Amino acid sequence: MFLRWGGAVLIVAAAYYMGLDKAKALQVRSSVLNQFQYSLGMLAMEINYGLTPLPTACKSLSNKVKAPVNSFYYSLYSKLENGAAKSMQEVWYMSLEEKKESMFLEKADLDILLPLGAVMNLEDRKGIIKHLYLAQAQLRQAFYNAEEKRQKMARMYIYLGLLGGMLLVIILI
Amino acid sequence: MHEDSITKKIAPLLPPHLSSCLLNLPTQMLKSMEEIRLRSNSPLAISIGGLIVPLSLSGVITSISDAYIVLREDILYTLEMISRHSLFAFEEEIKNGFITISGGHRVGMCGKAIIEDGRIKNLRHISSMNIRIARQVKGAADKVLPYLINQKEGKIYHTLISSPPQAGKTTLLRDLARQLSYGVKRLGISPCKVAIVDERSEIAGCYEGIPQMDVGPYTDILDGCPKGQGIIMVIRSMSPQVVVADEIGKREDAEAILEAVKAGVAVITSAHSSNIDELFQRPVIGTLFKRSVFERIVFLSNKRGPGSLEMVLEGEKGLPLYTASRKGEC
Repeated sequence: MFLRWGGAVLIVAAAYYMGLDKAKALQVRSSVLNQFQYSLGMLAMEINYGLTPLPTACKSLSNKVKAPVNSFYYSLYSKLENGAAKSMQEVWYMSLEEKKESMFLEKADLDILLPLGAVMNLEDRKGIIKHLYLAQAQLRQAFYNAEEKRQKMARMYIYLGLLGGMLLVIILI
Repeated sequence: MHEDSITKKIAPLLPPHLSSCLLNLPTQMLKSMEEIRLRSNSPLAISIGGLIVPLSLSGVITSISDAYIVLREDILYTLEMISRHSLFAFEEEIKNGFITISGGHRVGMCGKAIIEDGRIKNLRHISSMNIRIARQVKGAADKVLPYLINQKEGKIYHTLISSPPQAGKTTLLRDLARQLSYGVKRLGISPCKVAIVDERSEIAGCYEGIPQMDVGPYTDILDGCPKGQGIIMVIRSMSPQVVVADEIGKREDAEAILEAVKAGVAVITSAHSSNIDELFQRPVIGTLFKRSVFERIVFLSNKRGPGSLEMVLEGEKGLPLYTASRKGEC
């Protein structure tokens, strides 16, 4: 009897945790998009007014933005300094590929972020800034959409996990 | 030290195969190397003692036909590394045709100039690079310094250094700045406040604002600033006793030098010329001569190696104080 109830509690807890995890992913994605939007603005400032070389700018951003986006910028910095790739485009692509899962980025988000690597290789500062501001605007929209989705779905995932666990217990008992 | 700077500062900026080629060169060759030249679809070459020699990929001097042919990718890789993957940050430098890298070495470049409103806006399709290896020769000014100082009054003369290109003008200016900044005990000169207006980052070789050469403990450097504006700026802001600037030639430079002289600041500067007559015929320099600005004129040449002191003239009357042939002092 004790084992049965113990198992039931475990099933409900596991299902609840799954729902919670799904909800957390929505929350992280939303925060990541917001952090990217904020950090691209800072990057544009560093490039436009400070003429800061990218490795220095990326290191500075890795200290200013929140996790997990900070680790993306740190990855850019370390790869650029260690000569891990030939160009900023490659380094940007490699770091995004590495971190996209931990940042819960979706394809639409990557479609905004990936082309920025090639933009950084431009010689024309004004051109880079324009692209960064455009990406920032797109990220703002993506953030609003992600927030809307989070508000709608996050609670639902938690309840769904809890109720799904309870349903499974009822079926099994 | 010189070869260390090449292996530690320059080699990492080249593609791995060119970097290992450089590291394979004998130490003696590294010591005397002046330039590394990369041109798209042309042989890899280095310049030693004024001669250009082609190099094979194994780092051996060879014929043009057996030399390594530099690829466009090699140039692009080097450009990425030199600019720290941030070409936008070097727009102004590229516009002027060079970037100064860590160690004070200068990378000159050629490509297609983009013109806007009659002025160079940028360089695109960069196809050749010349890595000029900066060399600090401490003591380069030892021989000339006694002629540039009035020991009785403890005064430093307004001096113009002239020579053909690559004869050691900048090396001499750098050492003069260093020695005056430290002070020259044997000539009774105590440490001076020196300001270097380093328009092309050649004298102090500043990298991210930090001089890569020893230019003395009391030396302020205005890096990348046009000389005309820079000289006035440092006089107003840093109260120097000596202002050092390289390669004067514009009217603004002459006006700024006149201001410095009026302000009682010693000016040490340089100008290209292959002989005395040519120097006097240059419009800006001619104007300064007419106004008797320079009290000492130093001529250098390459005859007995870079930095050979040929002549020191007393400025106003043009009397020779030293000539290499007679080695006599008047």
